Amino acid sequence: MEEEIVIHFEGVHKRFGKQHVLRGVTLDIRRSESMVIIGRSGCGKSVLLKHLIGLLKPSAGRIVVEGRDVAVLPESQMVDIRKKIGIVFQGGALFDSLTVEANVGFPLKEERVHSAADIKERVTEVLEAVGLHNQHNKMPSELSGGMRKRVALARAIIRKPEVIVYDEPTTGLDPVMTDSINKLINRMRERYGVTSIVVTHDMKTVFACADRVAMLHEGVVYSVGTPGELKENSDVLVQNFIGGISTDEDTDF
Amino acid sequence: MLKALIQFVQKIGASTLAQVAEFGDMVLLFWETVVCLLTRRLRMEQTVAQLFFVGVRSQMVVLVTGLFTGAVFAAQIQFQFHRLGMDSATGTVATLAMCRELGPVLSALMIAGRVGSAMAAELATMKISEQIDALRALAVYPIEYLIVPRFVAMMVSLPLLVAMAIGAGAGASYFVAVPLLGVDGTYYWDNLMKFVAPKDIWIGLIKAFFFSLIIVTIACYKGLHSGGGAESVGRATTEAAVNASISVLISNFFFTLLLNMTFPSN
Repeated sequence: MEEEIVIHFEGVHKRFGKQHVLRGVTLDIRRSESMVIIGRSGCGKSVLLKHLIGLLKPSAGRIVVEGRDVAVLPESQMVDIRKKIGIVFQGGALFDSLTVEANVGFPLKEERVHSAADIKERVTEVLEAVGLHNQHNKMPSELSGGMRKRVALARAIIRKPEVIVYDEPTTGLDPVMTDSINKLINRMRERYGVTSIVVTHDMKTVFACADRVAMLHEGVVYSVGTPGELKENSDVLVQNFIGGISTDEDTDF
Repeated sequence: MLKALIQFVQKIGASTLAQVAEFGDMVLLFWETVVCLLTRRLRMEQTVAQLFFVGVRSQMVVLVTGLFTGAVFAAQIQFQFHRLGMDSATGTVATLAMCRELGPVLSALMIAGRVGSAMAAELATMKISEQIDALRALAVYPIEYLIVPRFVAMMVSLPLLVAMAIGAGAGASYFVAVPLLGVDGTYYWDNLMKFVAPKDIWIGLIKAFFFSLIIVTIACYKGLHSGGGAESVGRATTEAAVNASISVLISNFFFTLLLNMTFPSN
């Protein structure tokens, strides 16, 4: 039986003025899989993610999420889609003026159907799921980089989304914390059965978390396959990326 | 020579187009905010927090501005009018000036500096740290959550602050003119009651209301449209304060003409 496609990018282009960032991205993401999107800095990975939840609209192309084209969906009808997708931003994007508890409980409070006691209980539950105990009253400025990402993840999962999107989840973290976040991404998948989309250029995350890997290069999907296939790929560009090898062009300052 | 001239004209044209586009975007933001204010719920928690920040925490700044403007204006008027034997008109002129011009304009300038810049800095920081994207991703409309409470707080607070500045300025001018510089108190009050009417206070309050809209629109626009990086936050903050102040000064001239037609002087 063919696996169900949850998200379908079809010929997605994005221009910012004269800059043509995405040049026809076509990619399918299957239900419950962990898709890791790699590529060099500035290749459009984060831009692609922002299209998924309608934060950016494509210059051309379609982005179908659960059967609905978000490229043409008005802002008012994006609510249902956004409730199904939890996003962990690169820097966490926690609200500075709110405590950890208020940040994590924010999505539930916004729904205005849950009691304060329910929200508190759910907040405690998800904070424990991401390995944070007794941190409810801290402000975001008092947290370390790793803790901020965990709080952001807790906020993303509190509404029990079907898809979790991670934008460079391990950037700026030490190797131990990187491993811990990778394990957390896998645990979220096992525990909640969610589809994961991880944007990264960290190869450890690729091999620890990916079912499939898509490599973006110059605004298009350059290669898609399993981590094993990626390793076996003889293409120079792919191998240079995996091995972290620069060419003369890259070192020409 | 011709090439340089063409380039010069092109530069002016591009800059003018950019200014017009920016003004258009500001009008759109204002319109979106008004529609949101009328069609969606008002977020009381955020509005009360903004009222506290804009209104309560600006009281001291506006009070000092009103007190010392009224005081120095009364002193200068008395010095000049004394030579003409018109000391008793000091209170009238100083109070009229406080009501119609100095109270609203100087308070608005102080608020543009204190509140406008802070609003722009906060929103710009939220933008570069992706907090505004996070709001949208969590299905929250940023205009409703961030902008409407700031608009309401400014619309309510600035007229009240201006009323306070006018009161403080009028009071200070009395104490400088009468006890300090020896103007006859009876004539001072008599002239004041004769020539200063409630409509003069209304002019100040109406101006304050419109200034509040100008300041908050510019501040929010600059914050929401800042680029990335710390430099952009700094630029947004400075531009919000400077542009709002200049807009207040320029628009004040037109408000004065318009309000003078609506409420003609006796």
